[in-house]
Amino acid sequence: MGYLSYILKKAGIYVSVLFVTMIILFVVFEPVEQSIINAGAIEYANEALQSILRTQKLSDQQIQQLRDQLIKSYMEGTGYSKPPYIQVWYVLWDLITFNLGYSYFLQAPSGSKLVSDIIMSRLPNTLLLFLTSSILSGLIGLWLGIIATKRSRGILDRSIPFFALVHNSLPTWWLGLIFIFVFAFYVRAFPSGGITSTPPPSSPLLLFIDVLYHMFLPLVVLLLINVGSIAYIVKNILNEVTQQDFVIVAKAKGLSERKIFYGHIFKTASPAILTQLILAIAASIGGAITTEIVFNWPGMGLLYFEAIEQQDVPVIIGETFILTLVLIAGLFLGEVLYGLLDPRIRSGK
Amino acid sequence: MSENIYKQVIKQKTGLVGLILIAILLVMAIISVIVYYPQYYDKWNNYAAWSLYPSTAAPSWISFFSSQKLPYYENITPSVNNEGIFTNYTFKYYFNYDLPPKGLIIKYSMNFSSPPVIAIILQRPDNNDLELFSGIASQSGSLDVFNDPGVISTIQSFVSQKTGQIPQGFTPSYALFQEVNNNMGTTKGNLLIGQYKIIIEIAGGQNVKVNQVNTYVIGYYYGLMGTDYFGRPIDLGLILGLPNALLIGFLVALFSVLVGIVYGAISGYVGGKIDDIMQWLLLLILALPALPFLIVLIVIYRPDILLESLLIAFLSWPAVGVVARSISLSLRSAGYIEAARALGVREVRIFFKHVFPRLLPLTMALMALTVPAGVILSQTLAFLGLAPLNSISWGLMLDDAYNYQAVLNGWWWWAVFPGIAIVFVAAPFVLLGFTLEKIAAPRISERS
Repeated sequence: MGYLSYILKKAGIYVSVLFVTMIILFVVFEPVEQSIINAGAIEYANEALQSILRTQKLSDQQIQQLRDQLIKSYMEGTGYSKPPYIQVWYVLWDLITFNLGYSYFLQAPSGSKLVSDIIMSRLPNTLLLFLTSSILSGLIGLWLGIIATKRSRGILDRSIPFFALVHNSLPTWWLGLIFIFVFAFYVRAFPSGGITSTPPPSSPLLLFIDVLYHMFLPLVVLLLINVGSIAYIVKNILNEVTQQDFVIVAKAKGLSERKIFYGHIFKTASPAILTQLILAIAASIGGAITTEIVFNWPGMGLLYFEAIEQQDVPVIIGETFILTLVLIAGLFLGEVLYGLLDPRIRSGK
Repeated sequence: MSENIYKQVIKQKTGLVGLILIAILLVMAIISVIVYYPQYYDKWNNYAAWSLYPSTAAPSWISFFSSQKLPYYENITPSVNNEGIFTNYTFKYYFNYDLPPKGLIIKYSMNFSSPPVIAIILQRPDNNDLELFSGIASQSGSLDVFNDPGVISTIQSFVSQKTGQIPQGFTPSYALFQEVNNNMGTTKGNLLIGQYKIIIEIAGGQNVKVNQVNTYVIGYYYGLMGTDYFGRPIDLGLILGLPNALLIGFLVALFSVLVGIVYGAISGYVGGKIDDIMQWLLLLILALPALPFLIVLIVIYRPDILLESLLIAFLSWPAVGVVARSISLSLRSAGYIEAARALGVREVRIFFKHVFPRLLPLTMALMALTVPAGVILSQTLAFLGLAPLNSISWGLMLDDAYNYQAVLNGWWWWAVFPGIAIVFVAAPFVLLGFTLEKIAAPRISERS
């Protein structure tokens, strides 16, 4: 199997995963479908009417007629009157084109009530925090795992299981609450929440520093929770490879420690490490977005919280679709990298 | 085989500690259901029922570390004496603090054929008496001393009679507990230390049956862990929330591990096309982000505890399936299984006789590790405001703490203790799980 066919096969799997995800969303959507479409149609008609009335004057009767027409055309666009097996294609098409309908109450900063606009105003903030923390915790975890393997039975080696314990038994967002109490309320060294000061500084450099300053506490919380478990995984995989026969052979051949570790052990372990790393990062997405809530970080997690509070179902469904899309894209990217690392795939055997 | 595992677990320190802590948790959960549920379960979510408790009171032991001496929460027991048709209830309160209490509430209930006359009198250490209330009693009544308009005007007239004025920024609660001088009723006045008495006189004779007379001093400190904004004691909430947390954890672990093990074992053992299809289905669910999907499902379907556990399990079993499959796959070509096959033993029999038992240690390890995952996920959902209806959970308490900005108001106990409770439930299972994992030693680097 060559690299290309490996990629194609994986792409096929992930596209089918995406497809089924959308089907599941369509099925789940059923009980609330009618009210979402109705609310969306009214919102759509009002917005369209407003822009028309800005340029031309219409009588009350004409307005009413036009409104009914607009509502009808919106409804038809959703395929609501068709039988479910046809309607599902309408819904899939809407999802693929990010046509996620209108929210009940929530608005994007621009004032738009389109769910896709609302999500696009939040997604970059989530990606900023989540990607930064994932990359940092991946690198630090890898580094600590390697050191712990090399200095077996050192302090680090023995304390890593403790951090793995912390990872598995602490809710991330709760640690956030504690950090806010200690570092924002008690010591007052960091802001208690938000992404920038109000008003945000005008120069780009100061804005950058301001965002970093606001990101510090949530980032530290995410790292504390995730680094330990990644180091634990890395250490376990490396330890296992270290015990295999070819390592003993390499030692017997008199190769240097450094060469054995990086040339043989790490190289062999790296595909497995990558897989586990990506799974661990994907699993941390829930903790990361809920941590946004306590830090008032205007991302997808805080949006969930607001949408749940106001029972804004269209926003919740749209968000779930987008997050799934991001996750699937991430997992696929992981498979692409895996193919590069695994010599069996690379060489096409 | 399982007895063997048990012995191996208690030989290790982490396993032993984990098992002991889990046993303690189970005993506490049973106590909670038997002792605390009947009395408090319905009361917990009824905010009005907690009006006699202090709002956001700190844990009592904090007073040892505080430079200020502040009043505690007290429910004072009266001494009773009868004189003819009068029944007197006397509440003694020794006041020796740097601030007056936050509230003083008197409550009574009685049965009678004709309503008696009742008088409530406050005796100060300087021998000044204030009549807080006098009149016809009702079947049950309460007097919120610091907020009742009648009492406030009584206090005001007492102050103006003694000092000839009402100072600026007059606060009745201060005036009651301060010496008579010109600053009386303000933060500048001197507190009057000593024995205060509240006397409740009921003039009813034989036809009155008094059920209950209580005086509550609403202080700054309450119990072991303080109270929340509504006055509910945090420690009580932790006790009431324990069975719920454990139940969801156990149900999630049970469902997801059973499904995951059976699915993974079959998939790995059968192999071929069926394995491919089963792997695809597994990857499908593995790729769904658990929390967002749970949010959608719960917002739309509003499940109870059982259904919520099933939903969480539905999204968590694939992780179990992956590990189970890799072990089953390696067993398939093991020597003794090849031998059994060569002897003509049927595949189904080989699977149940030889493959499945081999997965038992792993099953137990994963079961132990799935409990904390389920606990944390369900508490996170509760924190988002998505707890099953009428349930008591720590996540919900933390949701309240977040909404009332507990940490930014300095009410740390409200945010700290429920979170510690989550850790205390999750950690023993993680310890046990790590120990079992070491014993079962699944080769995690083996790629599916």
